[in-house]
Amino acid sequence: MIDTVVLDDVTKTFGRHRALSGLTFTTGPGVTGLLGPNGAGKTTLIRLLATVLAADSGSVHLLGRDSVRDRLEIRRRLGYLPQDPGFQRGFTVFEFVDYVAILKEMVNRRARHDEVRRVIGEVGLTDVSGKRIRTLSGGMRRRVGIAQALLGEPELVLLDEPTAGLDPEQRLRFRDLISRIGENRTVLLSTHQTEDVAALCERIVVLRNGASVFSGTPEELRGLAHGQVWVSGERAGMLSWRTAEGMFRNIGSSPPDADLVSPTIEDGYLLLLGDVPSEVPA
Amino acid sequence: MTAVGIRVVPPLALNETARLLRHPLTVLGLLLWILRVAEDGWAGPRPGFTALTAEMIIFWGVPAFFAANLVASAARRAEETLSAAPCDRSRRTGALCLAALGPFALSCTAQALMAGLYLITGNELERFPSLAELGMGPLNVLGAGLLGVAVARWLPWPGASVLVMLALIVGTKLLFDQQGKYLLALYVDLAVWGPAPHLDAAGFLPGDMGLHALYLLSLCLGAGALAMLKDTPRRELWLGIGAVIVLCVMITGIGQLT
Amino acid sequence: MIRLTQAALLARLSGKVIRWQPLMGALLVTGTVLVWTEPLTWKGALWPLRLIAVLLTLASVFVLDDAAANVVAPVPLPLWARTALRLGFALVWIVPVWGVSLLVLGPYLPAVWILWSTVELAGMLVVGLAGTVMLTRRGMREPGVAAAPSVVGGTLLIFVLPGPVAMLTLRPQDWTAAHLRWSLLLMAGLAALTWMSRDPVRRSTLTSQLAGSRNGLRVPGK
Repeated sequence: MIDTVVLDDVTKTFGRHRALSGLTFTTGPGVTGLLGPNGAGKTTLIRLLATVLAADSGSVHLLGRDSVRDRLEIRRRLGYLPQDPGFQRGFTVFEFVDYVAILKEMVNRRARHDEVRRVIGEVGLTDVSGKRIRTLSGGMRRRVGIAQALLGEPELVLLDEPTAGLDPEQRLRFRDLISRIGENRTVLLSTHQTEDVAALCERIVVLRNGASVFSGTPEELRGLAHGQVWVSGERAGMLSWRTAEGMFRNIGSSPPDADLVSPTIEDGYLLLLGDVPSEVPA
Repeated sequence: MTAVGIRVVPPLALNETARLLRHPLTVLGLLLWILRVAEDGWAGPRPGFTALTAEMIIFWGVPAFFAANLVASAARRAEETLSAAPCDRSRRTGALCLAALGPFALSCTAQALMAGLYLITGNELERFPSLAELGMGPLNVLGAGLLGVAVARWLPWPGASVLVMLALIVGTKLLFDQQGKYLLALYVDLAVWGPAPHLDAAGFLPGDMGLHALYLLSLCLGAGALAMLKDTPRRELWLGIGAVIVLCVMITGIGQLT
Repeated sequence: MIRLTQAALLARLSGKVIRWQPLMGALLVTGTVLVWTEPLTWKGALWPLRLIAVLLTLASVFVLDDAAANVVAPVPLPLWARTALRLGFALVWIVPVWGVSLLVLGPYLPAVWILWSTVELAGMLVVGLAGTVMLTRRGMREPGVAAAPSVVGGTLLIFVLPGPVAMLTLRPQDWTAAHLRWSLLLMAGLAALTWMSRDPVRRSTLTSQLAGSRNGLRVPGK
């Protein structure tokens, strides 16, 4: 596997707050999920990878190039959806994506318009491409953001909370789209949706306090909770909730006679972050 | 408005007062006024009188207007979230109007201190300003704050506050230039400038300054009522209050000229 | 070549990308001021000219408002070029309006004031825009909202500057010194505007290198 994203001992500080603290990880083509609690440094990391921010120390190499020195070359091969995208609301969907396409150096009118139509179609907005963005729902605006990120078939796609506000059907369509993109390109997906991560990602990086506390496959993350998730008739464990069947699903150190069940990625994630005591060293 | 609803207003007003007093433009206003009085206050009887009575209107009043406008419109992006809170927009507007009393109190204190400094240093004026004349500056600061809130509520568009300020300046200039109607303006310099370099005592413009202070106070209340009118569920009440205030503005406005 | 084509394409979209309403408002008010003013002395012509300079500065700070700033942050077209395009759009309005103002009010003024008042406008404009760019760097998408009151406050501050450092002076003996200060302000504003318009990554790398050399941190690429 070619490593398209290589971070080595990266630190980023905002005033007194250290957002990234000696972060090191490597990933390549395919979909990589970034998980972590609020304030873990996911958005800072995504912005750093988008070459919008520079690291205070350490090195970042993207697509085989230095993220600061060669940022222009990287930006030509980059697609980016920020966490809080804004739009000039006077634009129609087509006009806005066309505007971003011009900024991405697509100057040939016919080719650009074809590409704009393609990405709008990819996110299922063809029917509303002539509508003004201000008239669209929040989920549709999110899809406009995703569409512009896909312009020019970028080799590195960075998506910060892409599924926030999408309806279930659109989320499934989005998964289909991302998995197709991830077949030959690098996609980094920062999200709180563990279902999306489980469905899409070949690799997961979990951040906490600006450092990577886990880097591996979804199966490995799930494996962290192996033997520590069980169901019982009463509340037990450090974290438990009532299921639809009226039983309690418990996470933590299981008793010897526990009725163990197969853990999910979410279970592994919870144990990893120490919300419940883990027998597995983080 | 329920009793519980009203109880929310004072702590909210205190919170907004702190924000308003800490706002960089409020601090800038105070600084500008001090700089201005420091330069003009002891330059001669005419500039000394002008500095103490009129300088605050522009150099503190204008920044106070923008500070209040920015503080009142800061929640624009969070309006949807805040609109679901039990404390509705009219109470938040009420709290902001009360918060305008913060800079007013500060300007009163500053004005009192400066007047005291004039007395201690024996600053020679043609005559010492009356209480109503001393009150013109702080009343304008109060009115600026309330109008800033009203503009944020009625004209919540970028640049609207600048346009309103421009209109105020033009209106004031027009009124101030008209013989016999200068007291209707917000900015009033009572000291006659006399021959250049305008430092010596040259008398005062005529007019009832007590009524002028009441006129300014009525305008302040009018700005507050205007702010409250935007979102209040008791529209008739505030329209009634507004009508009374308009009457007061007319009576005091005409009265001060005669 | 691509940059030129991009610029031409973006210029065509400028009506939707840039907030032009304040410039239109400034144009209308300037027109009113010019029609209304009947200067009896050169001072009577200078103050309306200064008012127009403030108006144009106030209007131009809104051209940097960009609702989609987050989305377009990592596009290949550099930040300085995007900023320059917006400022260019503002200048397309400002230069003719100022030119007409000088044509109308210039005959009432001593000749040197054509230059002095233009230096004042340039100083206000550049410092106002530098401040606005600074606000955008701090993450504001509508920096004009905060920048416009700051321009008013800044103008008042310049107005109250006392004798030895006065800038909006009318005393002939202070003209040269005051406009030397305006020129210095203009230079400082230009330097700040250039610095603030650089790519944030480039700026923070330099800042990091400076901080790194102090703190012994490892610097990217080293």
